[in-house]
Amino acid sequence: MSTARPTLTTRRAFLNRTGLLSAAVAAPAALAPSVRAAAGGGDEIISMSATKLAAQIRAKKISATEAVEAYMKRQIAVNHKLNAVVTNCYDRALREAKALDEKAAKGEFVGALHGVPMTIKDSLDTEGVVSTSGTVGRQTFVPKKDATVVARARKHGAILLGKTNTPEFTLGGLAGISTASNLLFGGSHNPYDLTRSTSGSSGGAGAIVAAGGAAFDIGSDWGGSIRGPAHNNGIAGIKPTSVRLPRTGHIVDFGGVFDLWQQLGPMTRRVEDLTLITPLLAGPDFKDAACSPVPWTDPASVDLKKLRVAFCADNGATLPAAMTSDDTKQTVRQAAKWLESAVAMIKEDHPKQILTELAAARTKLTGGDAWAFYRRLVDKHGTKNFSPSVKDRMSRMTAITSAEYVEAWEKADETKSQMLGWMKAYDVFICPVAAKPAQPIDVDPSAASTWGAPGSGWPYTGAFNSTGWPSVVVRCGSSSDGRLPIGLQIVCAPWREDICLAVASFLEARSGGWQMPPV
Amino acid sequence: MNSPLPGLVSRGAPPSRRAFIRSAGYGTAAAFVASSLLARLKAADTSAGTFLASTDATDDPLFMSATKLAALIRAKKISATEAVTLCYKRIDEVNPKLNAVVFMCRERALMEAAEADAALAKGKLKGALHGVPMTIKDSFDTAGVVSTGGTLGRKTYVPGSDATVVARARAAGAILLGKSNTPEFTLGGGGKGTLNLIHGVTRNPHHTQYQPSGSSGGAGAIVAAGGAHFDIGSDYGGSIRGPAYANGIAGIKPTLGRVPRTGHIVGYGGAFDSFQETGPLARRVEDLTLLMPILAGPDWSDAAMAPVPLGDPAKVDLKGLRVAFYTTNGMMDPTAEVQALVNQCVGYFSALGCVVTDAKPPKMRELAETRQKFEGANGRDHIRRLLKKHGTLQASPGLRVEGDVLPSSDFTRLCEEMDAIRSEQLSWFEAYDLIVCPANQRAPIPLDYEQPGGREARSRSSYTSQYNTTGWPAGVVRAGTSVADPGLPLGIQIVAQPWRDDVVLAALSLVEAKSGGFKKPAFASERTQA
Repeated sequence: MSTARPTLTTRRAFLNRTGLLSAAVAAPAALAPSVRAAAGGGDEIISMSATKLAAQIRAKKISATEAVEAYMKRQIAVNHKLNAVVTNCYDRALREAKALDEKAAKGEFVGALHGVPMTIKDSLDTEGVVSTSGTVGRQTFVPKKDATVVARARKHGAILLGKTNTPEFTLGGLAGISTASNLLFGGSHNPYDLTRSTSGSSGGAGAIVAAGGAAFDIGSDWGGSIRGPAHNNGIAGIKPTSVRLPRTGHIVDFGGVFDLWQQLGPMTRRVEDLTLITPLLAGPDFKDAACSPVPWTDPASVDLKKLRVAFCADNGATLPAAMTSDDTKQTVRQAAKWLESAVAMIKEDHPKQILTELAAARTKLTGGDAWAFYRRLVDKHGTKNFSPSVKDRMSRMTAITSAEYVEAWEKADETKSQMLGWMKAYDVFICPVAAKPAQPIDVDPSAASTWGAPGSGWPYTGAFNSTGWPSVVVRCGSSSDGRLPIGLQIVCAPWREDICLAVASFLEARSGGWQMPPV
Repeated sequence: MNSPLPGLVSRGAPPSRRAFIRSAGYGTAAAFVASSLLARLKAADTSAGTFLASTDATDDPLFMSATKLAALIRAKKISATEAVTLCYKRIDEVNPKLNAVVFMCRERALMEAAEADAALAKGKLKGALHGVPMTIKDSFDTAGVVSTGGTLGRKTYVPGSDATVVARARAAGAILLGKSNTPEFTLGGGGKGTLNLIHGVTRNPHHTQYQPSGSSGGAGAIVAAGGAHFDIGSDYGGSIRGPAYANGIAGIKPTLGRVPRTGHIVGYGGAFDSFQETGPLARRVEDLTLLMPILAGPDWSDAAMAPVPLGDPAKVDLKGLRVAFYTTNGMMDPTAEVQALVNQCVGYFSALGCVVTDAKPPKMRELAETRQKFEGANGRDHIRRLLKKHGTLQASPGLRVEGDVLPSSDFTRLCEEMDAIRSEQLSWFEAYDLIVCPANQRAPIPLDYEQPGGREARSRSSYTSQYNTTGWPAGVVRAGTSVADPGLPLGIQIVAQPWRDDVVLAALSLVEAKSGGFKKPAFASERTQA
């Protein structure tokens, strides 16, 4: 450790300590191992992994301009069908690409993502580029600063192509339209079947990355908003451990009663890209007061043979057993079979009682103030006409008292502690992301709201927002007709993203992971 | 002074036996133990090997640092049995005046000491605290030893397992002597220091008509009095730092997320979780440095822990620190002597070449007021539930159990407002490595002291709770002596950026080295207030 001014919690020192700064910036050649390991995903610019693209740019086989042009062309070709990218900044992207190419010509590479085109979920502030977060009050809002994670990705050379669709404040939606949608831009469509949902709230991100319209995106996840879209769109996504990445510049940023539930994380086609990008975004920023400088461990150092794995095809705790599709259960069982000979121990197990209590406490807290927190967001951003689905929800909710609220918080934390005790016996927990593959978008708007009904909300993912544990999603199978992707969650104890990613890589290699959609 | 035996460890001639006994302050009672000790102590080598080296010059085994005692035990210059016996004799002597230790486990402690000695004879060392006597604040569960938490419902409660921090200290070889007094749930002091309906009031060893502060008041008093080499406290608003201040010792409230609360009477979890930390109290800063890595790290139960590496204070370059200091929190000015002490300590850093700036975190008043409203929003329902949970019918007079219940929309809003200020303060802190500031508004207070302005004024006069709300690491060490309240200690508070507990410890060491830190208490009892 440096004996200089003790700024351990600054980002530079954090990266230094974890060895990432030197790997990513000071000595570009040190990137070689992850480049070498690139699964690739194809030879086309728009299908190869971000890791491989970065390596090709570094090797001067592809220029940043070529990369940007290829992705722009793809976006233009598919976006009118997907409605995933809601604002573009193509001109700036081309200028930035040119500048990066000039640097590269001189042998200068700004970072691990030099020249890699990305999109960013519209709930994250992007300097100079309209950032609406799906709310009318921000229709023309142009932030002066990038969100911390966006600034970090750009500092490493990533080029922003545009913003991706999200429901209002990542939480709202349009009644009757069960996909990422809002009053400004409408709904996004699934690239594997345009009549189906992208899931949300990072639905635009999931759809455009899957369709080869961006090398990666950065989403946010409060209940499943990275993992749901990763599942529905057949890509990889990570919700890192709570408080690993700063939320500064996200529409719902640091603070408040739900603070620890919310994480940001990359969404990519390949697991290796999660491994590359997540640590670049991690670490305190002196704004997000909850963010902790826990060192990042390289997934390559994980020994699969030592892992104790629990899996559950159908938890029967947070939704009725019959609601999970056979295809989903089959995907879990297939993954378990693949792992059987690779790990120390694998068995079917889940903490049913604890999950049930955790879900109950979570529901109580989520609706506890009858979404007064949402109304404050609406007011703060000057929105008069807010999300119809939230209006509907508010009309059905009754606020509890502060005393009940504090008690529910205690209960939730007690359950969190019990979950930790259960997980002590395992290194990995594998389960579905959602009960079914992507579902048709149009539901009957006159039907009663499913708010609070069994299986509504995030039955498989919300628990890991409450606990704050890391969860990686990767496509592990398909619906029986082969058309729709099915992803699985690989969940580990806090701060063990390395294990999540190592297991996700293994399953990706067996299943093939992402496949280019027919759109 | 603490050091009547100059050079005992590595320099100079052996001291006279008389001088040794006098310095130990326990007279003839322990003389026979001491006499057999002397010859061995003479040649003792406290060079640490793989353990933390002691720089403490104190040669009295009762008042030397835990670090030094541990080294002497390892070097077989003093046995664990001797150390434990000496401490019990000291407790027997001082506790009637202090009422700091409220339960003792003599038989087990002596048995464990004998085991520790036998193990050492075979070359087996339990850990860095092998044979070191400790007391533990009574709000922590101790397996097999009554743990009341100061509440009547737990008057005879014997836990089945140790709190995580207690288990870790014992696993490292520390020997539990007994439990130290705390107000009910650590919260029921009501401005009267450390007292409860089971054990009564604890007194300050520097002056027995004074409060030891709270809530780790028993811990502070007995460690200062030489009855234990360290204690472990909890700090929700200043409960480690207040007693460290009032009893003239050292204490640290680590960064939120560093040390587990599992097994504390107000354990992990709930809306006010982020205010509470647990940490060591000891006479010497080097002991905090010794204890921190032993106590820190996740335990698979306290879900708010983060395994952030703990830096080595010895590697902190103090010269390069950017120091902010303030002499008032802007709500209630400290007394002149407290303000002067801040300037004195800031001088230590300027002398090293540090850039020092008169600055304080923004919106301290707003943060204090918001936290108060936030904590009170549920009408203190959580306190009533605690009473119910532990089967207590009669609460302490100082425990607040009533209040108006606000709608939950106010509660969630207050939480957002509080966190927004936390973020603003953190941004401010990016420009500094260290804050040097008052630990208290005035010298320790007499037992019957009434704060003018009551509860509301008490809250404005707090110089510690600010750093519970932010979760930043904060420590206190003695740095002077009061003139206004003659002979009573004055301490200073040192705060660093989150996770930089190493910087807090390094800075506390500097202040201790320059000011002398801990001084043996006088047990004054006359009212001689200036």
